[in-house]
Amino acid sequence: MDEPTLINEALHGNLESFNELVLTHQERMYNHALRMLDDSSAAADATQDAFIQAYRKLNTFRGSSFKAWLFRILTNRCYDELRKRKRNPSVSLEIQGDDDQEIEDAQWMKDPASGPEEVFEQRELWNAVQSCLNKLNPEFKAVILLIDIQEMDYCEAAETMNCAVGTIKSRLARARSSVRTCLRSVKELLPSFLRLGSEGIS
Amino acid sequence: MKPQIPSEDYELISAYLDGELNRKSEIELKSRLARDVELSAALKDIAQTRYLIRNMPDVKVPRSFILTAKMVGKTGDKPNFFPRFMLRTLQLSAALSSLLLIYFVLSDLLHFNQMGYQYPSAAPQMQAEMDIQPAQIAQPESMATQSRPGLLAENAATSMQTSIPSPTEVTLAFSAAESPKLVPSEPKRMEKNTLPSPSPVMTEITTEKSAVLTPTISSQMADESLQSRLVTEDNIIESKPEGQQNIKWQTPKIILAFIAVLTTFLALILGRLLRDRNK
Repeated sequence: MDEPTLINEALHGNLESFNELVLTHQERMYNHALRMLDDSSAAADATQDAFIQAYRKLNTFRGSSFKAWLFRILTNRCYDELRKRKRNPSVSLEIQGDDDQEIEDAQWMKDPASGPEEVFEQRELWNAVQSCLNKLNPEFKAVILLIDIQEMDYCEAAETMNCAVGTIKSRLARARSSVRTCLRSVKELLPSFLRLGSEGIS
Repeated sequence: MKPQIPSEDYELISAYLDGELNRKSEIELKSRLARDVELSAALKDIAQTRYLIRNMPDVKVPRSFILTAKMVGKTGDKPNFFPRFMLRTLQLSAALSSLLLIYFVLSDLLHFNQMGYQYPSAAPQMQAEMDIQPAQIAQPESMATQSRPGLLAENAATSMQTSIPSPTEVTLAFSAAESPKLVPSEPKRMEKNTLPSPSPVMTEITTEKSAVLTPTISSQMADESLQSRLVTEDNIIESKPEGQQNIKWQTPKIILAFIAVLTTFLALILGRLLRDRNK
């Protein structure tokens, strides 16, 4: 069944149809939340909450893109979570020696073809990229994630962020420039073909 | 230290990489990139950053995010819009029936006030009637003093025609004597006056009775005066059909009140259920 039909059926209370949509989008949604929050359990909670909220407010869906609408709900949920963290800063108890967390975090970096040393380097690299993303303002971070990771076009990202296309363009350029500047400090981690220059943004 | 790239150029480069530039801007930027080494290096940097971010590996979901009926507070696959539609309908009907009920209650109160003004009008009527009665009662007494039946008959007929006023006259006299503040109730008064008056009947009765000329004329006269009084009372209490109309109006009002209470009650229950469901 196509997406509009599933949405229409879900709108008439068919939970199974909505769950079809959940299965289609859950991986992208979870990854977006994970990049935004950098915490797997918080990302899972945010994703679940976003789907529940989407089901309850499905009758308010008027946009052209269901994906953009879902991501708007999730991004707002992530903003709430980040604001909450800012108000009540906490220290994570998940240390590197924590077995469960280590296994879960390592899964996404695991490459069966790579040896232990390469796995470690890759892990360091992605940690560095994520660390640079975490330094961004949430609005800038959301834009770069939507366009570079979720591969949305500017219009779809503008619909998701509920702002103008020009704002998206500006935020994206600044976000990319900031990440590039940040990654300069860890350029030894980067593969030789990805060693970055040293220009800055005025 | 290398010169910094203006933020406008970064925006152009970034949009160029994403294919979001229009044809004209794209051509202009390409020509600049061919000439400007710094800009070209910046483009390469941004492209590498974009590549890194885009190649961040996806993480598998730790669990399924499929929704259950319990999660969304759902008891079945009933449409969402139906309870809401029902709630709106109930709220609307409750509001409408309540407004109509208020209107009827207020109109009843106004009507009651009007009736309150009419009640005093009945008092002079009764008083006038009381004034009439002594004359009527005096007649049999004066007739009783006369011993001759002929004279009795003549006097009786004459006194019936002259001294006993017809109820219609009485009513008309009262209508004329009414105060100006009773003008609003004029249609009802007109109804009273247009009702068939018993006076012609009474006149016929008196004529027939005077022709008989029995010794019990005094008792007959008393009966007739009583009848005339009763007829006058009928005129006073002639709002009886109107009262019946009022009784007829009571049924829709009761139904309306019932609907208002029922719909309000149902709307409250349904609203509460929907709120609980959405929690």
